[in-house]
Amino acid sequence: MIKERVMIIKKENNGIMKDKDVKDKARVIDYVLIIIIGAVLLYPIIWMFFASFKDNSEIFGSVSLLPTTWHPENYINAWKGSAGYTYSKFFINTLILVLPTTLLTLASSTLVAYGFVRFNFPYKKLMFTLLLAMMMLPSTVVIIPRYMLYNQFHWVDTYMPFYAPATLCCNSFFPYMLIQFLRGVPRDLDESAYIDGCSTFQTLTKILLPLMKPALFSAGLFQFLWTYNDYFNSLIFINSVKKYPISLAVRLSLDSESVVQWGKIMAVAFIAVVPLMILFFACQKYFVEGIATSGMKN
Amino acid sequence: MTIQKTAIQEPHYSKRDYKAFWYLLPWIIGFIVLQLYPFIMSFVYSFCDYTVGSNLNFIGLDNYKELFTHDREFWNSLKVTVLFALYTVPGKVILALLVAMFLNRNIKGINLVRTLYYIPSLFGGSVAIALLWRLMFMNNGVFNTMMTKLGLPNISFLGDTKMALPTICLLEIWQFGSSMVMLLAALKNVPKELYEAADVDGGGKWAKFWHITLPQISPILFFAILNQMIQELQNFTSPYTITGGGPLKSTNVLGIMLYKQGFGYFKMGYASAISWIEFVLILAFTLFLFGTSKFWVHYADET
Amino acid sequence: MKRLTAIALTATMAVSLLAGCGSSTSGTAATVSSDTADSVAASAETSASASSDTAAPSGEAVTLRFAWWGGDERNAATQEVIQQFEDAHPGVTIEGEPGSSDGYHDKLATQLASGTAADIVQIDPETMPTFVSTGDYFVDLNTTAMDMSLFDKDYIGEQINGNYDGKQLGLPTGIAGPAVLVNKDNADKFGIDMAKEGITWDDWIEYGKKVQEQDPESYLFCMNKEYIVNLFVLTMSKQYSGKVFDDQGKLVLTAEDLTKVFDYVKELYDNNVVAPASYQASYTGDDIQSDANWLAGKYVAAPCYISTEDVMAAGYPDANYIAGTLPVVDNAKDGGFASNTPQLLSITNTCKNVDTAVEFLNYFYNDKTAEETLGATRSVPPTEQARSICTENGSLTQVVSDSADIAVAVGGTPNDSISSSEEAKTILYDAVESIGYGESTPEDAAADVIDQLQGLQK
Repeated sequence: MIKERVMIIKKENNGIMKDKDVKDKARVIDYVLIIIIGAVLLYPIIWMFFASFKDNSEIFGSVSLLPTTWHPENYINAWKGSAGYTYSKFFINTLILVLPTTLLTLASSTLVAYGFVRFNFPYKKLMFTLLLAMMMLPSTVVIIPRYMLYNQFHWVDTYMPFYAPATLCCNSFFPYMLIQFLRGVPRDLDESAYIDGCSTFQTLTKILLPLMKPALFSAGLFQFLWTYNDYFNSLIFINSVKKYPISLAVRLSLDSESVVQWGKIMAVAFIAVVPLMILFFACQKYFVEGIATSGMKN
Repeated sequence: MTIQKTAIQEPHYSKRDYKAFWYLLPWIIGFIVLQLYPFIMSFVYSFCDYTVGSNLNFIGLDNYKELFTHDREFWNSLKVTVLFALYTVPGKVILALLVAMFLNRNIKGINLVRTLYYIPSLFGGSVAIALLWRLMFMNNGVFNTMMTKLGLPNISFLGDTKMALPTICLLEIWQFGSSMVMLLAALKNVPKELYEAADVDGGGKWAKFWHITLPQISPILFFAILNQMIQELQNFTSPYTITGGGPLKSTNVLGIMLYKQGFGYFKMGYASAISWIEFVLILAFTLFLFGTSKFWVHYADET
Repeated sequence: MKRLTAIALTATMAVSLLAGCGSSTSGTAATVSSDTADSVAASAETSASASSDTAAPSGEAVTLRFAWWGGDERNAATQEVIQQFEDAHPGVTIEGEPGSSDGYHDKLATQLASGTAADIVQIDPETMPTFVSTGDYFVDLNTTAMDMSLFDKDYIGEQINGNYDGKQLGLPTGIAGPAVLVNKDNADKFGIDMAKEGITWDDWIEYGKKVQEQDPESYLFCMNKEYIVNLFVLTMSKQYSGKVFDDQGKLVLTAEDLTKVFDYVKELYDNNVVAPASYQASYTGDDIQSDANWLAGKYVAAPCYISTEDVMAAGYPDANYIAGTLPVVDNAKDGGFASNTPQLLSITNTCKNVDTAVEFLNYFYNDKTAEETLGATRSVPPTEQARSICTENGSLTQVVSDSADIAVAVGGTPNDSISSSEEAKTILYDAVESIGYGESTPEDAAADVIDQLQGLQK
């Protein structure tokens, strides 16, 4: 009985809910709980921040968050980087690696998602299944033959092994995400544009693209994040230190030829993650809502 | 302009429809060159003895035979990989759901909370954070120091064969924020009227959850589980960076084993065989999930 | 087929295990099965540039790439030497490519095979046989104007130090070997003498017990399973059996001898001569250098390498350090403690300006200013001239110098190419780990290891 009622109401409602309809008001104890959970979740990051100012004996000896003696020189040493390159260089490398990859991903994913959602064509089901199936492809299965291929094109030690898969839509997560979103956009808009004489491409760019902004932004942020954090592929395809992105540079700081100052390592780690946090706080609206809406079919 | 009929029996494709292939072109090329071709090649390699410095020798099923009967690490790695996924995926998703449900009420500053809880997820696959984890859970790391101060016995998080895997899984579960955000949005999307109707019909909390909440959010839930599962079965960076597969191989996921065989010993054929097993494993889990989805996932446009 | 071989060769990639490679002979040796003539031809063909010896006419701009691994001190010193050379040779630019020891050789193998390696490369002498057997990658320095007169002829004549069948494919950068770094203050505190003549393995066990009795939180040795294998297991095995694998690649080590060695390992753990296995799990490979207990001064000694002694000492600088003596079993067939160069420097065949590269190496090895700058960043220098300069200016510390003397006095054959392979070492690491956790008995572990090692025979 409940089920039927649900169906009816859903149809009437289009399933949209407003904030004021949310169930009950939160009580004080709920806030306390929220704060506790938040503290536990963020503790490692906070600890890392303070640890970056400590020396070895304090990192291992004490429980207190705050250092008794502050060592800001850890950051100076950390920024100096390794092997003759500072983190300025590594950051620039990262940008050169990550930004084009992200933009290329968005472009190709949009095209592909549009193709799947708004068209009906032979072998559509098969191709869609293949698209999804590719999400399960472990990168380790394909990395060796791919390396061979890239080597033949002289793409090793360049960023092409990142740009190419991005342009060719090799990570099915992004088209999938956009497909989910597009499915929720009513077709009427397409139809009216078509009637007005728009080509398929114009329909995409003039009508759908603006509507897709949140999903695109969110997809872009994810790709940025994942490429930024990428370690495995970077290590294999990027050989010279002067092209190292941050993820590889972090590893370099651990070279076991000199005594490890863990404080400095934490400083390095913190430097590595700070841009992500800044980006995140600046774009959190898109980030968080993007995830939210992308999973939705509305 | 041709008017399309949406009849299912006879797909009639208009000229417009074929334009789709232009849009799909990038993916088609990418699929063939960067996915299908390498995929097939590695399959070929897996039936060969392909050590560095030698030629491609076809040896039939020998690699697989060796894996299943002779290799000391294989069955353990298989077990560890599956366990890893079984700990992390439900851990992440259930925790995400619980917290999302908890937060799904009129809370001031909900956006801030959502943002903060998401932060750990920013660091998925980050080497820097894996190092942090190692540092914190070491035998004289901060957590053990805390335990000592509280008078509790120290736990060798990374050294005890029973603790190492859960400790690494903890890193993954800590990053439940992304799933939580998705589920929170899904929860908000459930029309209030449904709950009200349930009240009228006398449904209790559990009934509400089971008959309303769960079905309504099931598509998202499914996506979250599927996604996480595929990722975690392939996870390599965390166990590799934190424990290197030890101690006593208790965190030796298939990915690490593959890595050692392929890039430590350069037995590319053997490594390819392992990668194929990994693939079959993921396929099995995925098909299973899809299979069960018929029973519990309800899509809006499928009424 | 050439392409396939190229595929096979280029398929060696980065990211090694955490059992990274120190500046000495442990760790990530890339193993390659014996090659075929095809691969030699293939790699020559697939090299990006043909191996030509075109000398750059003076005055033309020449750029060379020089790749090495190392810590900050070594990097800084090397860069300075490069700068000195560039200043003296306008028009010549040397691009330094320093890297981490982690994954260095995997990457190098890939680069050699695809012809993209640097012009001058630093190589682990235990990995060199692999490269030599899979391709013709290096210039024979005997055919160049390289001045090798300051080197000890016998020393550079050893294969491990770069001489392969009469061809000098690399030059040693120093003298390295095992060493025991002793914190004298601690040793005195616990009343043990780590520097006594004729010390025995059993002495160490006794000392370990003594330390534990007085302070359960302190241990005699700072070690992990990798170091136990490299410094104790392989060494003791060679002392008992002479060799592990013979020149034909057949296993010489017996299960009996190995059981004796593993019995010793068990004693190390049972008597807490070393920290418990579960503690060691946090510090694998060269991470031992950041062992928190060591950094807190809780160990009496650290068995390590001559080239890493200074690094270890720097981890806990507030102590007096001396060199510990090395034990030999009765009736040993071999000293076991091999000293050889920690790294080789080679010129690759893809170098387009071999003459300039040779000039640089001449400067690097023979010039007094260069030697002074480099100091002991690549362990004890290989030439007498360099050693005296370093002792004078203090970059060669007393401890290191003493350790070198001790190691050379005990002597020993270097590891053969099979036992230095990643695969063989992993078998041993796993066995030691398993004994450490009490999972297997020395006898079972030894039998198991012999069984596996037999599978590695040629």
